[in-house]
Amino acid sequence: MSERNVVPDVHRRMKPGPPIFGLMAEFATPAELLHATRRSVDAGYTKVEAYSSLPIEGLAEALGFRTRLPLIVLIAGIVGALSGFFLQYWISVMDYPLNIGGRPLNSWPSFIPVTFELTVLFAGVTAVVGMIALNRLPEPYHPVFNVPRFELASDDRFFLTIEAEDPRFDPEAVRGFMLGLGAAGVYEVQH
Amino acid sequence: MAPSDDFSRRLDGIQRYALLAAAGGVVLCMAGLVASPERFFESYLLAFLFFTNISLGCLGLVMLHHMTSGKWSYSIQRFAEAGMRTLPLMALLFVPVVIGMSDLYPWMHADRIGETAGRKVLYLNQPFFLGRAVFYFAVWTAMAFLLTRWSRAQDGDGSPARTSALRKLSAPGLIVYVLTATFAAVDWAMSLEPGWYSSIYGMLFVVNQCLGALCVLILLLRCFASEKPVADIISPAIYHDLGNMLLTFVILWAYMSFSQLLITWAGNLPEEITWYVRRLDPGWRMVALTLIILHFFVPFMLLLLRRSKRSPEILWKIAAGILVMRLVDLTWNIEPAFHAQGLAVHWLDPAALLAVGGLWAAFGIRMLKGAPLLALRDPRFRIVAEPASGTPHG
Amino acid sequence: MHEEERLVNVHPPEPLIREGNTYGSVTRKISGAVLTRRTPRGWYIAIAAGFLLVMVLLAAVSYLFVRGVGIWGINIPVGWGFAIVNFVWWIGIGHAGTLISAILLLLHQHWRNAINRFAEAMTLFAVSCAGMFPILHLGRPWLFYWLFPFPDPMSIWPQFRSPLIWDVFAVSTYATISFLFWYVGLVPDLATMRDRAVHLWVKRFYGVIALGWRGSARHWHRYETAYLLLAGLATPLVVSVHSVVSFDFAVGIIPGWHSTIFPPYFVAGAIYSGFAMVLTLVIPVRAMYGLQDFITARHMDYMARVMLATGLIVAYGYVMEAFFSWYSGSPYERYMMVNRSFGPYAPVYWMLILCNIVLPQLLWIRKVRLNMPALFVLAIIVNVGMWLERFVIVITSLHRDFLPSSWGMYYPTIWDWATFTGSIGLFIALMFLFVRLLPMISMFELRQLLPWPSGNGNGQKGGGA
Repeated sequence: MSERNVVPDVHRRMKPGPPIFGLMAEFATPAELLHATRRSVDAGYTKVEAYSSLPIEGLAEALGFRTRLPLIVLIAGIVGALSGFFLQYWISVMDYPLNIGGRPLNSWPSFIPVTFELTVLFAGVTAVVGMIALNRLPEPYHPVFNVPRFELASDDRFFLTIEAEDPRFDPEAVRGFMLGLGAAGVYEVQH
Repeated sequence: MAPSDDFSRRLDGIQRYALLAAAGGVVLCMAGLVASPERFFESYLLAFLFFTNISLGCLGLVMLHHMTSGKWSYSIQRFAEAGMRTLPLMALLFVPVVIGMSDLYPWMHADRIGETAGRKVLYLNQPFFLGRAVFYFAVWTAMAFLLTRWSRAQDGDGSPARTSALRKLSAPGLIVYVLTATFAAVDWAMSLEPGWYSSIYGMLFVVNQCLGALCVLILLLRCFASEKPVADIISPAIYHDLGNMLLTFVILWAYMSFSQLLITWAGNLPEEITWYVRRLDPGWRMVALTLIILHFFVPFMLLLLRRSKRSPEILWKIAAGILVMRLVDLTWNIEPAFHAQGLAVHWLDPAALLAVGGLWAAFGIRMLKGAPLLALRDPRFRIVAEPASGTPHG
Repeated sequence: MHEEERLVNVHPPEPLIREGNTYGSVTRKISGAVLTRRTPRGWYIAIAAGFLLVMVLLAAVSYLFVRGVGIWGINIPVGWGFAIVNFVWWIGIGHAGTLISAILLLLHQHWRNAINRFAEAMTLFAVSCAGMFPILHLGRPWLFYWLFPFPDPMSIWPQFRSPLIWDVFAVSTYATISFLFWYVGLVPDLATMRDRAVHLWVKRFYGVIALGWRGSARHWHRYETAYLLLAGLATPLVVSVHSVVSFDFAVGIIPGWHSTIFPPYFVAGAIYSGFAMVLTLVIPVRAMYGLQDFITARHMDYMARVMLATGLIVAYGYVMEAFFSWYSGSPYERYMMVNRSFGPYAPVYWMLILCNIVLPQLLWIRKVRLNMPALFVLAIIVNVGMWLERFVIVITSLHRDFLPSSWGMYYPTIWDWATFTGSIGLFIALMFLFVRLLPMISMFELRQLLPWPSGNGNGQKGGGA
């Protein structure tokens, strides 16, 4: 299976840098992928990435990855709350004070609902935009898509790449390492 | 798994302290009853409602547990059962409230109430009030009794039919609980100001009861976490779930309290807003602010953090803090009816709390004895000796 | 989270996904319903019906634009008629979607994974239908943007003490967040569609909206974080939205509107009607596309139970309304209840009690919950009941308030009915377009329900779900 996908390296770019993006191993189950990821990190590889069609618990931890997203969302929520309240305060008390039904100018109980909605709006939009931006999406082109088998990554196969930029990257050693992990196939990923 | 001797001794010790506290409280209350009877009844009503609310919250949570089969509620089921078994005691402790009725409830005096409140005499009159109270306690005691009895019988026979019976009781039981608790709240607390009404009040009381009970149950779980068989199941995940439930109830409290305030404040009708005018006037304003900050913002922020939910050491402190705020909230809720001018703490307040609370705790601890701290043979749950590993989603 | 679980909840016997399904079969069956399977005949019938009713809606709205709101039955004293009834009804229906996708996610109720996508789409379309009505009711709908605070030349600002302005913020936030939640949930599945599509343009279509998703572990981690955060935000949001809707009424002092129980009681009613609508849609679509593998009897049972439970909370609301109208001691409040039960609109009130409280009690019986035709009929009855509830709240409270000399009656016109049925058509059309164009069940979330397959490699074995 693996031979079929090894594309001859004829399109070598003139730019300096590694000739290929990296090597990709294919696995049949999430457990194998998780195991292989852990082993790769343990073996000292740093440019490791795993691909799957479902979130796999423990995978991000195995890669030593954490996200700052919750903090960003919290800040956005606080900004939303403050701007929501002060928008209303500024309009009702400072810019155009108007007596309505004898209510105080700063009718704070009435200002709570909009304050709350804007908190959620700011935080929610930030969660989504932040996730997409931090993931550097939309990204229509990515080298991994050059591997034909990779279209199964959104179905029922599981993939692991070790990228050529990894200081310890050596094509033959990595190929051997991947096969040793029980990969069902190892493919070169072209740029 | 019979409870160990060590454990029994520990319970005996706690029970002794509780009884001692109760004895002290009762003596002080007696003195207070002679010195200023009116003030005694006010303090007593507060203490009575505070602990009755916790017992009722336990009843609600036990039935909720049977309906939802949650792991978090499994861990506190037996403590909650003990809590709800104090309801017969609370029925007995209702007697002083009955004695002090004419001091407490303005509608007992037809000449003292306004025209609007006068139209409610069909509901607010002594015989009906007493009849309802008897009915509530009878229903609550019966449900608490059956729920405990069947669950303990299952400890013996492990029959799945018991679970099914418990569920069959809990489904309508929850409806009955919510309705009776609502009307009890109207009778005992809302009618202190007979002109005022608010239709969310009963639901708010139910939420308060569950919140208060949950705090007590978290404290108990923390206290007995090292005892078998609780020690076999306790894990950060269970505290996490309990913390999330606590967060939910804190949010519900804030949501319902704020809804009531906003609707009343915006409507600004004389028979409604007076309730808030008293409670937001300078004398009580600081208490209201304290509630907003310490009953909502602080626990809310703390409970958003994963760390504080997963650590029993942090969680029990939050629970204890909320429990104190429950007392402050109840005080703010009922005391302005007697002291419109502002918060007036009297030495009888702690004395009554000590008396009622001591008896309540002693009785509750007694109810903890004689059965394991978990419903070990409930077929819905299995305790594994070795932790299960590798579950893709826990 | 991989941690010590020393207490195990023994699962009920029926599985959430029928035996024999794998990651691959999930992909094939769900993406196939869009990409390869022949469109079932029922779909054509439904979309045709929806399309016809959309035409009715367009006609009704066009005439409204030409003549103004006078074509409706509204007048003094009943200035709020069908438009507001429909608005509240639709927005309530939307709430089950958020409940299923957000609250049940937070509660670890894995059965939601089979129906959340569908329910979220329903939310989105229901909110679209809802948002239309207040704008149409404005009189000059083309000036709807005056509701937002913007520095206009007349330096006039919205009046933030009015719940109608809170509504603008609540509903637009809700629409935005619901859309984001739904779209974010779709992205990984769109990548699957892109990879499975055969035709170039179909591939490009899904490719563009999939944003280049490639399922990398780091992406998944951020994705799940964002998804959970959104769920945490959407949960209080959904409660706030219907509470704000209830404030539209409760903040006024009209008897029958001014009641503090309104916020939680409206929220429960919203979820009640929303679950009824999910069932109304899922039962036929499930049969049409043969999705019994993923939407099992257990799902139906759970949804029916949630419906029963929320229905009981609504019943509690009715009891409180009735009791406190008497307990208030106010003659106006008391008369409101008398008028509701015995006045000119009494039949509507008793129909509502029948539809919302009496008949749904059949759901206590397990056999009824598992009988699809019976459940379908009950769901429709609840939908009707909830619409009647809003009718009773809006119309009976307004038509007789404080001063008998200003009492009046309200009769809807043909244009009221046309706009209402037209909005149902819009909803049906959008719903069935969604079913045809996008994966209606979340594939990646269903895969999470399957036990980890044991590999023949040297990887560890994963435990079952």
